[in-house]
Amino acid sequence: MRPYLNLRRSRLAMLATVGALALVVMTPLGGHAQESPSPSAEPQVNLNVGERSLVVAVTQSVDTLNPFRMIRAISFEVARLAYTPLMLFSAKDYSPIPGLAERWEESSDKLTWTYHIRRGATFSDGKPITAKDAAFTYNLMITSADARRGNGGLVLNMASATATDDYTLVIKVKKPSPVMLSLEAPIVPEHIFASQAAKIADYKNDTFPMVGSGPFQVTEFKTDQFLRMKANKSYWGGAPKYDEIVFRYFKNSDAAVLALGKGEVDIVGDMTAAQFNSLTGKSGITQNRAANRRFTSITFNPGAATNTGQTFGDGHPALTDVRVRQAIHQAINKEELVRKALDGYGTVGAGYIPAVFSTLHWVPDPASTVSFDIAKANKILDDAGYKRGPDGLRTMPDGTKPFKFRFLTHSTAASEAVLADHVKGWLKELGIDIEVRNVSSDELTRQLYTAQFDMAISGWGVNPDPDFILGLHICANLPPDTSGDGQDTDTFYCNKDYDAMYTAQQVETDAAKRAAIIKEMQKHLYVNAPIITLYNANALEAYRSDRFTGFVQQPEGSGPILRQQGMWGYLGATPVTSKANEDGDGLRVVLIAGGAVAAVALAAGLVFFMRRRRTADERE
Amino acid sequence: MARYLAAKLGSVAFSLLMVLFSAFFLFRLLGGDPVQNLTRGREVSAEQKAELRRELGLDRPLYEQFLRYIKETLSGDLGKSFEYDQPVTSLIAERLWPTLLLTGSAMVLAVTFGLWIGTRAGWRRGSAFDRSQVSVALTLWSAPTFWLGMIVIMVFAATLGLFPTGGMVSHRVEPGAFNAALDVAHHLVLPVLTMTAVIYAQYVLVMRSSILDELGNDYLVTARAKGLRDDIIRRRHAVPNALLPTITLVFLHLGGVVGGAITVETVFSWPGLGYLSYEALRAPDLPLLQGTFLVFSGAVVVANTAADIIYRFLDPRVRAA
Repeated sequence: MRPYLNLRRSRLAMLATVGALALVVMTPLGGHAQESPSPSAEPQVNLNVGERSLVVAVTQSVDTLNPFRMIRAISFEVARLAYTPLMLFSAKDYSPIPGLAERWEESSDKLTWTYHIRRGATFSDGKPITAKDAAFTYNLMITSADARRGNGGLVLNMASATATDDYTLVIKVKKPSPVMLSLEAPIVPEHIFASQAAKIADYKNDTFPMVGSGPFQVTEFKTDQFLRMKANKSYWGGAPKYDEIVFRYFKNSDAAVLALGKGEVDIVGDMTAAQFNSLTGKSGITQNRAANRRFTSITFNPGAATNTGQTFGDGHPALTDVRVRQAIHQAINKEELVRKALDGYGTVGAGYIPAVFSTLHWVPDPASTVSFDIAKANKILDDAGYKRGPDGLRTMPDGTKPFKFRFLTHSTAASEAVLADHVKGWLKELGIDIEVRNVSSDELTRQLYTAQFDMAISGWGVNPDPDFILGLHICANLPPDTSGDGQDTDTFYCNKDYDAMYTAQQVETDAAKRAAIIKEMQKHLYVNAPIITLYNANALEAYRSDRFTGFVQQPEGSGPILRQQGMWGYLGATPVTSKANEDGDGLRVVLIAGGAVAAVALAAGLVFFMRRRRTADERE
Repeated sequence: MARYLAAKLGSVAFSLLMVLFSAFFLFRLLGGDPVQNLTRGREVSAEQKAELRRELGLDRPLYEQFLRYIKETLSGDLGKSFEYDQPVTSLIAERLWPTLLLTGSAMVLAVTFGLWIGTRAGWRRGSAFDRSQVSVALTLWSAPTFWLGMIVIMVFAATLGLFPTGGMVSHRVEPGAFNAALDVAHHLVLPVLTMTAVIYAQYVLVMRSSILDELGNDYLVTARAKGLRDDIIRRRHAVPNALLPTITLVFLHLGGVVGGAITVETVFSWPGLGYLSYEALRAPDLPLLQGTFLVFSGAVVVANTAADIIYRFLDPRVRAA
């Protein structure tokens, strides 16, 4: 009776599989038990009553804990908490304030900078922080390409870094540069990193607790799961008011928002408008609609060329005419875009540098503000000689090349689809036909850099030092060839007035004078319109105010708590004391009870099954 | 038999070789500039990008990259991930067990329930049980996994508060191995539930139709004529014969178990291989993509071969043919 035997086998197999599964589930159990026979052997696990953790939901995973090798924004956030740089960006307005360096001065030829390191500061292992650690950090970046992956941009202009004594760091630069006022690279302990310097690319810096100089130190890290940082009670800036920060990783941002509502996490950032709105009016939750340092803009192809003057790409010739770009600027209703594309969560853009950088932000005076006016825009084009053809589309003055512009948008951003729709509608009234190309970021970059576009959406998060962002429009950054590789330009813009101002600001180390130049540059961009700043989207965050308060925003009172150029948000957080201790013993009970019920049910099922089979055998 | 095995293993070797080659070229055909994507949104100069390109070996000619890849892969080195800045082998090893746990559990459940329901439904074709179970299974099968997962999270995690909203472990667990296992099991429930709900329908349908094929056969009439109970006829006579096509299906899916379930892992932030490959694809993180592709395809090739061989033992007709 072959079938009979087979059947029994298959049942046995099924039972065996269930058993095997149970074993799989228990595997970590066995493993753990061997490693740590008694609970006391697991020092990392801490359930002390009164232990307060700030749980932060993050959607990006930490790539590495080695500050020389970091690429992702979230990793830098961890580094800012773990290490103190020479100088910090103030919570008030991003201005440089003392970090490890108490004060600094520039030589009269502007080529030597001296930083005086604060005395009495120690690393989290108790060893003093000295100028030698700072010199080691910067020298490693200067000499090793492998160490420049993280913060390499800071040292491109540096010739050498030397500790002349324990508290004096001297850095020589190749040419004067205000970048020396924003030396934000984490200063690492030489006594930990020196032995790794030769193979810095392979160093993971994952010996816990990590030795650093910031307010929190990493004590546990499970890639793509969570990262735990314990408060450094000996932090030179004053001990944090709670015990630990846990970055909990969510790939699914909707789940992170639900977790906030449930109290599994304490703060969530980077929300969409819909997610943010879903939290309105929930008790115990406070929303933070923050002014952000990001801008969204339209860049034009004003006639792409290489740095040797060879033109390339297939941009529409009309866009080389500043009047056409100005007319388009005039035909865009930025208020409407903020309302429709951002659900109102943003501010209308004008100056290139976002308003959060109050010392650098430029605002056009009312008389020269370009406001939404279709009639005026049409008049500009009429006056410039671009007549409408029989189909209503404008053409070049000689009647050729109807105004059909390709408009590149990112397929990953829903807001850009809305934006493109509106822009298309407005420009139609000018006699311009827009073909929206909603493509991947990769494809957008490719078409942009090979100049196969007419208009494109661009956006950047601006750093406190705007040098890079201003440099996106200088002649020197035009590409060396037509391959689309190795270029920094965002617009193929090249103008000698703008270039002169750029060079001037690059060597101006007096903050006020430099700000004046930078404002003039923004005015230039506004008037000549190689780029139109559309809006600055808000950063949308929310936190459990029934558990934590006192988060410091950057800039103070209006900015975000997370993703700052600093760690003020975390540092200021204060636990609400009245709340009873942490999460759910109730949950545990439910779980154990549920497990018990399931086990009993399974056992009963098995008994029933065996009995039934036995009687069946008898009956047969 | 030996000849059969030799031929089979030969074809396996050939398949694996093809996998090895296509892993390299497939992802390069996709396009996308890893350096551009890795540095997106950050202020990185062209000079720094060139430096990074050099470090990642992307500045070398394609044939040179290919030779290096073949040489390294054959010596067991899958390279270093662009994004995670650590060896691909260790990344894959780290993610393997969460994936096996999730997809393995879901598959065991799906096969168990699927076969059971399929058998019952087929046996009592047209009954209320048949119609209701098949439509429930098909409805769940057609539900978008992402949507279903979110609903499950909203109901069981957010509203009822019974389970965590995502992840595999809590950041805070009482010491002890039992607690650690309980914690993982707690996190495992919702993703396994979702995944099982989505995939069990295929076992229901295959099993149901195999049973239907057997229904009219003479041997069942004989069994009935012997006076056997309906139950016994089904379990001891019909099911063993109907199981054959299902076993093929199970083995075909077994290979896919390693690949995990990208959607479920993403919705529930489950740190598995499926999610890892998805992350890698976005960069594109070429070494990581190659590594996961090799592992996934290798698993499928091996599982299919195993299915072929085992099938010969289970079904004498195949051996005879």
